[in-house]
Amino acid sequence: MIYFDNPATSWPKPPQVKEAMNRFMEEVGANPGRSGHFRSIEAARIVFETREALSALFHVKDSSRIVFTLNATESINLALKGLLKPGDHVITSSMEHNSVMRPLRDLEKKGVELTIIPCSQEGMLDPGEVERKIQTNTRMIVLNHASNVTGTLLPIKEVGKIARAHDLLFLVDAAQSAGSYPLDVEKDGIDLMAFTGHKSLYGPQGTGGLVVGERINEKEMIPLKQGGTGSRSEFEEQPDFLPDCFESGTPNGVGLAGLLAGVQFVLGKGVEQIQQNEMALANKLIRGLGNIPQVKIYGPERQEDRIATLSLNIAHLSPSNGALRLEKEFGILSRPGLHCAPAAHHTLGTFPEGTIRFGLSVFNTEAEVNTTIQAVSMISEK
Amino acid sequence: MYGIILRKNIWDSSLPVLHPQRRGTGIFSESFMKWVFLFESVHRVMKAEKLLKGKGLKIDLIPVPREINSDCGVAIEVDEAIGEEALLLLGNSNIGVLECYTKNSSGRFKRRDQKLIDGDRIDL
Repeated sequence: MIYFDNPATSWPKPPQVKEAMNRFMEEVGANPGRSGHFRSIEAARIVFETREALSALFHVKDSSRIVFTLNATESINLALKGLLKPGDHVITSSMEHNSVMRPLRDLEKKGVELTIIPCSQEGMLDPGEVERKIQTNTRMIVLNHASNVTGTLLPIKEVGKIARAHDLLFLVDAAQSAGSYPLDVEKDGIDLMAFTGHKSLYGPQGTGGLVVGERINEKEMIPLKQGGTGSRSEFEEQPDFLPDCFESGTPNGVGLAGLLAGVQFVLGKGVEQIQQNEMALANKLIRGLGNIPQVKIYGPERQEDRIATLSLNIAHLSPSNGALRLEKEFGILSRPGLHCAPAAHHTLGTFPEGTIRFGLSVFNTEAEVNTTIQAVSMISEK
Repeated sequence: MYGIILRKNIWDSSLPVLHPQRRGTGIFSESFMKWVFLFESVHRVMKAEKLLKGKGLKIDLIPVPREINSDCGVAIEVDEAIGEEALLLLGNSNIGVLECYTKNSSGRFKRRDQKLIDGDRIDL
């Protein structure tokens, strides 16, 4: 079995992730920080250390500015709905995932103005186009760092500079890149960064977060929900300090224990090393597939412009049939269709059928890449 | 609110036992006066714990005493002998001690010098 569905969720996880979660269930198990006993304290320590580890990974100075959520989708909703008001103008790209597009379309109905910058057929964005669309009421720029369809990297460093120059907020959806591409919230000019725990951070599903940068006044950001936080318990009003203001209710303690192990795994290997290894394999895969006449690969030409995710189509074979044959005949698991990113497929010209998507993780091998090239070659023949 | 407390249990065995000497405790330097630190959130307690333990101080995490605060979670208690040191370390960090109390052997709490407290935070 060859697992290439890593952009959806990574598999396998490092063994220490499962061990950490088991340990939490067996030996810790308590509600983090709420009660005074040693198990509650230990649970709180784990949650805290997870914040600290992520701070190290993303170069965040104050770990209280990392808020935990269920997933990147919740993080994006928190950022958009917490900060945007009717009359505000938002700029985004035509390659965004529905976790960005759907809340933006909903906010648009409620009076937020939206501009979508068209990307090239490879999914590339011209930062100059972003700057040209800035208006007096522009409040925020929202971009996915790497496309979950083509793997195309968007120029977040350049756009971050533009956002700062015009005193705009910059929200980056790092769901596909956190852990496999170096990210520095300060140096990259990012004000809000949504990340997920279960992809390139190798944690379990049900974990994710939002980095709330120093330029954001959290007291003016509306939480998605209010509830118990274990702080200011004598008051019936939500606390206004981080991270408590955006974290109500019992957190996913067991999940965060797993995420901590995953992040430590990534830190141990080094993001640059992971990127190098994944890209070496991705390039092999792209070259090999590119030699098959019936195969069309989407996305950028240059290695520097992508992560280890790619989309392809095989002539005379629908993506769903292609993916099914790859699974049944060769045990290769991929994802066909629109990948929850209809906007991206409109941009590529692959709407509505979509593409077959392969995404690599640190656990894929050269042998798997070779097998896949042969497999695609075989199913391409009529 | 949360705090850090350093405390030796006064009901420990009366037989002398050789403990490794740790700053703030010891058979002959044992004190019944404790300092209790409360924090705004459990995040800050964890940060404070990491800081103080990193400097070799012996601390206890205890449930926030109901006598001084109704918050959930934990407080940090330290032995009187290292109270000032802990307070200074915490003050020089950006952790933000919310309140600081002393506790005597009868369990009576006394809030520390008000001039140390600036609004909701102690700026030291």
